[in-house]
Amino acid sequence: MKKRWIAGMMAMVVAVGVFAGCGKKEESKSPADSDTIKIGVGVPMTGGSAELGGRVFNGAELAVEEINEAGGVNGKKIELVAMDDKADPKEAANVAKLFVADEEIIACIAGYNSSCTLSGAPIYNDAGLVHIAVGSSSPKVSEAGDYTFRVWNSDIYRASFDLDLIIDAGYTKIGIIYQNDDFGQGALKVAQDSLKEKGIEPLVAEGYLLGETIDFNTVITKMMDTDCEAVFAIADETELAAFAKQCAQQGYKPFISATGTYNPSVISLGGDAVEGMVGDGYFDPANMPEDAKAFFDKYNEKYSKNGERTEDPTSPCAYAAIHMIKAAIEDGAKTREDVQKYLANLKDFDTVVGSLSFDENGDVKIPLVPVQIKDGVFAAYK
Amino acid sequence: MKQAWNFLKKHSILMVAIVGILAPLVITNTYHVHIILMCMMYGILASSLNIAVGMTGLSNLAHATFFGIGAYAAAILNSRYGLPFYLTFFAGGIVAMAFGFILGAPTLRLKGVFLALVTTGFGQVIRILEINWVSLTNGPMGISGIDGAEIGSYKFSTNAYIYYGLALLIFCMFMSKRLMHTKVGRALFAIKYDETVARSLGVNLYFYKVGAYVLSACIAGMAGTIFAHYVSFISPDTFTVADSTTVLCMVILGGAGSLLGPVLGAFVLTIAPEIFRFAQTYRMIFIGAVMVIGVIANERGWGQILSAKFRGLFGKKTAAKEGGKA
Amino acid sequence: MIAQQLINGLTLGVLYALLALGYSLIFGTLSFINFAHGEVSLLGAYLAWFAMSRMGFGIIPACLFGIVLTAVVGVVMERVGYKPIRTAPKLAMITVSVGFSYIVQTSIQLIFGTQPHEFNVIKTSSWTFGGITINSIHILVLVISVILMIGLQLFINYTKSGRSIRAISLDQDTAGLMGINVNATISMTFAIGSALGAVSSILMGMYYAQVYPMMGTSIGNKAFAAAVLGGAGSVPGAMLGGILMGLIESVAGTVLNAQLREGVAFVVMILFLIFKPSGIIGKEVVKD
Repeated sequence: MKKRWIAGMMAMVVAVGVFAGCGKKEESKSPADSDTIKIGVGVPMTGGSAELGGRVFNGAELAVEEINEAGGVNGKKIELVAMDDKADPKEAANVAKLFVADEEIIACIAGYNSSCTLSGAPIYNDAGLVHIAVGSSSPKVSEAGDYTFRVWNSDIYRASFDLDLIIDAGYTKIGIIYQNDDFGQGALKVAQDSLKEKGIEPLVAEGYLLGETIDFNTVITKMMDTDCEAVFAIADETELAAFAKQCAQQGYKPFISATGTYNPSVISLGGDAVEGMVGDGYFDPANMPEDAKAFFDKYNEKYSKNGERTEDPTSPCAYAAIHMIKAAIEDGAKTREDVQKYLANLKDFDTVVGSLSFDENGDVKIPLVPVQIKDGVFAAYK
Repeated sequence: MKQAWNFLKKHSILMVAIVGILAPLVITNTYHVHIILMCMMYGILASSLNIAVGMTGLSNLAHATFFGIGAYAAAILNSRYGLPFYLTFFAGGIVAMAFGFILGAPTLRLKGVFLALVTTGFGQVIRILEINWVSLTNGPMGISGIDGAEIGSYKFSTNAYIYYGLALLIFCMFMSKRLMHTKVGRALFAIKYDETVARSLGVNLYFYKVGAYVLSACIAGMAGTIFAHYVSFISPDTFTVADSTTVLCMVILGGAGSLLGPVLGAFVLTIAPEIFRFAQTYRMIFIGAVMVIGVIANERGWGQILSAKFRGLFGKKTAAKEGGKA
Repeated sequence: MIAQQLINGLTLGVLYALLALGYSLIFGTLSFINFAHGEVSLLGAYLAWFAMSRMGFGIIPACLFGIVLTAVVGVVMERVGYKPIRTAPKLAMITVSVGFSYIVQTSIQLIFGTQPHEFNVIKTSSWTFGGITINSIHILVLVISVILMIGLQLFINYTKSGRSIRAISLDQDTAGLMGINVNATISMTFAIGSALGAVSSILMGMYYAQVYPMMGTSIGNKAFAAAVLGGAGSVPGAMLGGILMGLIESVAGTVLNAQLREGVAFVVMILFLIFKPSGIIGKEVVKD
C-alpha cells in the first residue's frame, strides 16, 4: 500500500511541476502592459558564495524599496524576482532560462561568480535580455555579448592597481597567493605579466581553493623561507583574514597588498594581524562622497545583523545597476531591446560608486583609490 | 488502480517515450523546456548509474564526474580541433569509458562502502585536475564558446536536444531491460545478491563488474557531450561531487534495480528544486528532508525481510530470485 | 623550513585525527561513512561561537555548551535517520547522511548567517627558537588532542561501555545476544563521535581564528580520507591516519604546490583502498 502512496506523491510532484508550467504561460504579458516592472536578480544565496551574492541582492532590494517609496518609475512599481544560482553554473543556466521565459522581466542583474555569468550569458544574449553582472571580474565577461553588462571592474585594472602599490613601495621580493578560480587566475596572469615587464620574478606563487582551503601555514612557511618581503594576495575577505592571521601566528610580517582588503570583515576577522595591509577601495575612506555615505548608513541600518558596519562595494554596485535600469525605463524603454540600447549608450551616469560609462564591451571602469588598514579602520594610503 | 500500475510498470519505456515526446510539444515556455532537457540529462545519468548501482550493486559516487569527463572531452575536441557534435558525441563516450576502466579496473574488487569512498576520492581528484591542468582544460575559467550541435545543415533547437537526449535515455532503458532478461543481466543481479554464490555458479565477477561500470560511464559521458554542446560553457564547478550524490539519490529514491524508478527519481529530483525556488535559502533544507524521508520511507515500507537487498518504489521481483535464476 | 612544516602538519594532523575518530567510531558500529559528520562537527564551533559572542558565556562554558549540544544533535540524527534503516543497504544510509549534511549546512547558514565569524578567543603568544615558531594555539591544540585521544583509548579498552562499543563493531547480533544494549551503545558512539568532532572544530576555529559555513565540508572530506588511511573502524588507526594525513599534506604543499595539495589526501586514500583497503591498522575488509 505504502509504495503506491509514495508513488502517488512523486507523480503529484511531477504533475504539479508540469501544470505549474502550463498555468504560468497564460498569465504572461509583455513588460509594457503590466502595472509592475519586473527585474530579475540571479545570484548565489546558498552555497560557497552565499554571503557575497546576498550583498548583491540586498543592494538591489534597497534601491527598489527607495524607488517604490518615491512613487516608482513612471508610476509603476518595481518588483524583484530573486533566484538562487548556488554559485553553480548549471543552476545559473536554469535561472537564465527562467528569466528569459518570464516575459514580464525587462532586465536583470544576474551572475556573481564569473563562471555563472559566462554560463548564463549565451542564453541571455540569444533571447535578448539585458543582464548586468555585479561581482564578475573575469576578462572573458567583456566578450560575452551585447546584452552582457557589468558594473564591476575587470581583473586587469584591479590586479595591476593593487600590484602597483607593492612595486611603488619599492619591494622586489614578492610572493603571490591567489584564489584558484577564474577571478584569481585572471588576476594572476595580469600580475605575472606586469612583474615580468619590471624584471621581477615572484618567489612564491600559490593558489588555494575558495571555500575549501583554510590552512595557509605551508605557503607561509615557504614565503618566510624565501624571504618574501611583500605579498600580493588575490583573495577575498575570509581567506585573506585567515592568511594574515596565520602569518601573524608564525611571526611573519610581510607588506600585504590584497584585492579583498576593502571590506570591514577583514578587520573584524583579522584583528591586529591585518594592520598595515593595503588594497584598492572604491571610496576614499576619510572623504567619502555624501551619497555613498548615505547609502551605507541606510544599508547597515537595514541589513547589519549585529551592528557591524559594512562598506563593501558589492551592494552599492548592485544599487547602481538598478538605478541604471530605472533610468532606461524613465527614458522610455518599453522592451528588452530598448533597455539594451539605452545602456549601451550610457555615458557619465552618476551613481553611488562614481560616474560610470559603459564601453563597447559593456564594461565600466570604477575609479579606485588606495586604502590601508590603520589602527583598525580604513584610511587613505599615502 | 492496480491494473494501471502494472500496465505502467510493464510499458515503462513506452510511457517515458510518450511523455518525453509530448512534453516539449505541449510546453512552450523556454524555461520549462530547459527543465525538461535537464530532466532528460539526469534521467540518462540515473538510468545509466542504475546499471552499476541497481543491477550490479556497485556503489558509485562519481557518476557526475563521468558526465563531466564526457563534456570536457567534447568541449576540448570541439573548441580546439573543431570536431562536430556527431563525432564528439562518440568521442566523449569513449573517453568516459576509458576513465571508467581506469577507475574500475583496480578498484572493483572492493566492496560497498569502500567502493563508495574510492569513487568520491576519484571525483575530487578529477575536479582538482580540471582546475589545475590549465593548458588542457583552461582551468577554473572553463571552456566557453562550444559550438551548438548540428547535423548536416540542421542546427539543433532545444527541442532537438531534448529528443536526442530522450533517444539516448530510451536506448539506455531499453538496453537495461534487455540486459535484465538475458544471461548477462542475471549474472549482474547474481553479483549484487551474493558474490560467492555468483562465482560458484561460474560468473566471471571481475569481467561483469568492470563491464557494467564501463558501460554506465560511457552513457554518462555521452550525456555529457549533449550537455556541453547545449549550454556552450562548462567549468569545473559544473560537475561536482555534490552532483554525483544527487544522481545516486535519484537512483536510490526511485528504486535501485528497477527500470522506471531511477528515471522517475531523476525527474522528481530535477523538478522539485525548481518548484522549491520560491523558498530561496530554505530550499536545500527541503531537498535534504526529501532525501532523508524518502529513503527511510522506501526502506521501512518494505519491511525488514528484504533488508539485505534493495527494492525501491518500482522494485520488481526480489534481487534474490533474479540472482537465483542465473 | 622542514621542521616548521612538520609542526604545521602535526597540528593540522591532530585536528584531522579528532574528526577522523568520529568517522571511524561510526564506521565501526554501523559500517558506513557518515557524510554529515563534518557539518555536524562544525555545528560545535558555531554553537560555541554563539554562546561566547551572543550569550556572553566564558570560553570554557561556551565550549562545553557547543560540545554537549553537538553530541545531542548527533544522537538525534542517529535516532531519526539511521536507526530505522540500520539493516538496509549501506547506500541508503549514505544517501540519508548526505541529506543530513545538506540540512545541517543550510541550517547553519540560516541561523548564524552566511558570513564568516571571528573566533578569536585566546591571546596568542609565539616563541621562536632555531628557526621554528611555535605559538600557544599549537600547544593548546596538541595538548587537548593528545589528552582526548589517550582518554578515548582508555575508555574504549578499559570500561564496560567501551567494551560494548568494541563488541558491537565485531558483531552486532552476537553483542545483542550477549546482553549488550545495542541501541544505547550506537547512540553513545554517535554522541562521542559528534562531541569529538565538535572539539576538533572548536580547536580549528581557534587555530584559524574564524568559522564559516563551508568549513565542515572540506575538512570533513579530508578527515574521512584520513580515517580510511588509518584503517576504517579502528580508533588508533584514525588517530594515526589523521596525523599522517596532516603531515603528508604539509609535505606535499612544500614539495608540490598549494593547489595540488588539496587533492593529495584523496590520492593517498585511493591508493590505500586499492592496495591495502584495511588501512594501516584496521579490521580486514568489512562486510558490505
